[in-house]
Amino acid sequence: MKLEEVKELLSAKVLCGECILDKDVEYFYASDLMSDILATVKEPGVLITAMVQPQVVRTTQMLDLIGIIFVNGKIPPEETLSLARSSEILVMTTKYSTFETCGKIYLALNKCERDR
Amino acid sequence: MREIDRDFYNLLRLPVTLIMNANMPKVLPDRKVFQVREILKINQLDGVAITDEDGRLVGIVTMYDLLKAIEENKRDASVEDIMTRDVITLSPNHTLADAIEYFRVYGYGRFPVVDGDRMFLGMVTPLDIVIRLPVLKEEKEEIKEGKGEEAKVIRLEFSVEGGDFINGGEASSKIKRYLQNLGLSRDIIKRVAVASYEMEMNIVIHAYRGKLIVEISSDKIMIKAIDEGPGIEDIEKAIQPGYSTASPKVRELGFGAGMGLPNIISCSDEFDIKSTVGVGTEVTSVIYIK
Repeated sequence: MKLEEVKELLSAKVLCGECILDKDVEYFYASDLMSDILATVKEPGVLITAMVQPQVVRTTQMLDLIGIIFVNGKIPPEETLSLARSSEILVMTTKYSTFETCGKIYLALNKCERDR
Repeated sequence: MREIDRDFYNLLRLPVTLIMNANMPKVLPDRKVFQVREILKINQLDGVAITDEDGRLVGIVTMYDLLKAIEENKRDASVEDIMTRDVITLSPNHTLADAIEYFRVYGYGRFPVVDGDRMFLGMVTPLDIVIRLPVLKEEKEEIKEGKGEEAKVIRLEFSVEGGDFINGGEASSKIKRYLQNLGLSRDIIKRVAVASYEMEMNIVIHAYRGKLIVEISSDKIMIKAIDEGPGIEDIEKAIQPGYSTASPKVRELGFGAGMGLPNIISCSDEFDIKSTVGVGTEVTSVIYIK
């Protein structure tokens, strides 16, 4: 699934990293606990979280994740965005909750799988 | 290698973002030629990036371009009419060595550093490199290549402040970048990055201050976190997944889920923890390079 499709699916607003919207992403991780993310992420993908502090970007940097989706319409502070910009990570924000975001992506991924 | 050569070689591998001038005036494309000349004069600059409202790079203009335009009676023209649009840029992934190579190959006087979205991050000139090298030397007290016991041990050392959630993780970012430059495998880099980040954040969360030390040899990487802090009363409990003594404030930031030490252990081939209550804690992780 392309990041562009994820953006459409979630009616999300891209805050930085637009240039990688055409990248494919297979793995999504949803958590607000940094250590849980560090423990569970195995493959590069996208993080779905309600946490907006710069540490979220640090965590994604460590794991080579390519994007972050902030839920509940959250806009991260400038420190978070500038860190994301300097590490070329895509950041988008959606009005949907973590549950709704995951649900929509899960269905879309399953559909991709079936269409194959 | 003589120590000074080694120091210099290390400096060359630092990211160009450390050397660039990030503190440049913002100049929009509709600024007039004479205004931009004033801006450059006041800021003692020879050239400046032209950016759109969002901060994306659209061109650069040099003092030479401006003076030439004024000579041609274009002082009231917009700077976008005389700027260079087709600009060679550097990215945050480029190193100081890349920048020097760019100056040599292209022969230009400056290169803007932009991210993947063409957001302007800063400008690099040969003068910046000369001026900022001493500053980098200071920074290098953190990124210091020690002699070590054996001949080929690279030692990096960083100080970490307790409670500093803004910069917490910066040392681990630098370590990760350093390992990437060494060309190690993705799996090894990830394990070192996760272990060092958890160790660094443990100092930020629990200790007053500490040090993060990384020693890279040909067959293994050792990461050591030594802190001055309250120490751990019950180590058996501390290494159980889910056990945490972190404050509610720390938990609000997404830490203190009781997965820190278990994560370090699962990334490590060898693990050791020593702690004295009221003194501090020392955590060691060794990761083999296969």
